[in-house]
Amino acid sequence: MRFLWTVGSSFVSNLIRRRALLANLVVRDFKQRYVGSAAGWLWAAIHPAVLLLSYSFVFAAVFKVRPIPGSGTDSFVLYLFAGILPWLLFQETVQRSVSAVVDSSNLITKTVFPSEILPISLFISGLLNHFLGLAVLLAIVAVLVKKITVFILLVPVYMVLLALFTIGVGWLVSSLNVFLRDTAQALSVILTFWFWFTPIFFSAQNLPERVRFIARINPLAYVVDAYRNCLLAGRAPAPADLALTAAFALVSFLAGGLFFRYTKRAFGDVL
Amino acid sequence: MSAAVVMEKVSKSYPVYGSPAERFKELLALGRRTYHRDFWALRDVSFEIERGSTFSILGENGAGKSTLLQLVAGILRPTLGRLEVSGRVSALLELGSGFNPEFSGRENVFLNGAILGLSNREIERRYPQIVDFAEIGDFINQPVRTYSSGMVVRLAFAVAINVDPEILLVDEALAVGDIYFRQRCMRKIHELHRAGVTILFVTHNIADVKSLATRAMWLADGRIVELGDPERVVSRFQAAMVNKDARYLRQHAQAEAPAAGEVFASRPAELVEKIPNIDFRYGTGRAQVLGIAVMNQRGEEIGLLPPGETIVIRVSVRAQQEMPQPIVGFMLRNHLGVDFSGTNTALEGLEMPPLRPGEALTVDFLLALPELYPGHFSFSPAIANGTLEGYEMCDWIDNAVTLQMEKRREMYGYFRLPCQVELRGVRVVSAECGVRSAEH
Repeated sequence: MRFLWTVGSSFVSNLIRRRALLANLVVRDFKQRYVGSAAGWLWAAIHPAVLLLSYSFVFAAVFKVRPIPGSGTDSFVLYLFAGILPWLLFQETVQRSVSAVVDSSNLITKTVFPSEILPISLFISGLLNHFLGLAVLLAIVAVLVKKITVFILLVPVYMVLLALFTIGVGWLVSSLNVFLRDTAQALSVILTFWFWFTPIFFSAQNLPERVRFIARINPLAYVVDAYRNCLLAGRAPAPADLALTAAFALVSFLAGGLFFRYTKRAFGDVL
Repeated sequence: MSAAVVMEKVSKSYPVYGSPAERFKELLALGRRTYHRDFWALRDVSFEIERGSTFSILGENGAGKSTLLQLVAGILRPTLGRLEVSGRVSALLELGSGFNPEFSGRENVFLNGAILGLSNREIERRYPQIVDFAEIGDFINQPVRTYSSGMVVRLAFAVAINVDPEILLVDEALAVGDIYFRQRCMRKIHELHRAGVTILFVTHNIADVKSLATRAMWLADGRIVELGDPERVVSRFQAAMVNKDARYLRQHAQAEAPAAGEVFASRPAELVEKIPNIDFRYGTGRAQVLGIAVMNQRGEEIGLLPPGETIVIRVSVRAQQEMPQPIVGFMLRNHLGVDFSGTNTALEGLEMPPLRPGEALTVDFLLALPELYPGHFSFSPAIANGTLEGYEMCDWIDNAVTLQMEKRREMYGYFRLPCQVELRGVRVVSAECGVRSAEH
């Protein structure tokens, strides 16, 4: 425990010391994605919007899927929107993290570069899109549902937990990919499964009893559920669920961080 | 004076794996199993760099120089041994490696500065100096991909030296860029040196070592060959390179003409076997010129001809067949290709021993060099058999070595004849007198 504390505090102080680098990386990443395109950051809004509309068309218009009762809304679009936002943040960060270390090989081998900062910068960069999505969702809720509750204040808490979890996974995959370039391929397969097995288009209650454990062992399921509860239903997540989510997040963050720290020493040799 | 960098028996091995997956398996095995062979990039390297000194590393490609810099920078960890670095390190390992071509010079300055550990405010404060030093003007707001390679290097160098390093690592970064910028970089490095910055640099440029380094180290195959006084290290390094080149040429010659009986039991110690250039070569091949070197009297090869000093033209030859009356000589030509001056053993009256096939010999011509105009002069060595009246030209090499005459003082014409000037006295002469006499 003592060891974890030392590692953790030196890690945090290092982050604070390198905040200029972090800020620069985030700005660079954000610009890089939209540099040279006429619509610029608008694409950041268009992509999820198209995704949302397409899924809504298939599930709501074609298959006539409705949100389960007590969701706080009848609109499948809103139901999907609230659920898919945290998932997209997670997926985007992890997917971009996987190649982040390899792509920065010249920084790592030619400069004194704190590579652990990369997944963090990617998460923060993704967070900007996330805020945009949240703002649009809140605007719709405010206008159409006219019900915004105090539980919205819990969303930032989940955001922090999501950050810890996502960055932990980001560290794991980005470091693995240095040694095993198959990681990127494997990850996209895993993420596809993960996406469809997470209750985003459905609710965990829809799952047959036999397979309901899928939602219980899936940290993202708790976050998705919490986003919906806080934003749409106006309900606090069960305290046990919150504790469990926090546990998942901390374990991922610590395990990913220690793994990254341990494997990092070989980066210079491999890259 | 404390040491800024201490290396004690440092070795660095790179594990060589059959595949990246094996590397990972080993990492997870936590040392219980190994899956690799070791490649030792550095072995038992020990040295100290005094704070505020300039330390230079010489060596061929693959000698371990870059590995050593990466160790000092903290990018790599030593496999064995102790390494201590005290002070803020700024590494110029590959200039511009942190640059993103899509972003403007300004954005890259900020990112690069942040990588080097500066806060945005600190970079903001240094920004004018950086842009000023890089001399890229309005381009600073253009994407870096529009820059010439020289501009990229200038900008990267400007950032790296403006972060107030305590220890500056330079890895052949200065090999690029134009002469003007190189000079400014060197001046800046001198300046940093005077300001007390510890500098560790790797270079191929002997002149840089001589002008900058307080100590030098020659690495070969990951081991220290020579460590200490730059002059001594440089001259030993150069000598080794010259030998190596000769060996290469010889091996090549053998490959081309394997029939020739190339093996001699004993070779004179001072045989030169380097022919820097061959414009044209002719002769019967009865004997051949092995090499030519132009040296100072201490036996060190020179790059400039020193006016008014004695130089040594060393020519080595070898007989392929019997050579009863060998004559060895050379011709000195000027930049216009005019035969300026030449001599040979027969002309100078040196008795030459007959040569048997396979025998080699070396002749030194000590030449008192007059003050010539600072142009290029070439030496064309030759070996003949016979007498001055009648000889057989065995091997002649046109313009084997070309050297520049050093300019020490102003000169009119082709060369300065030895001249004494005397003042005979001062007398007053009326100007009117002179005018009147002109009218008569």
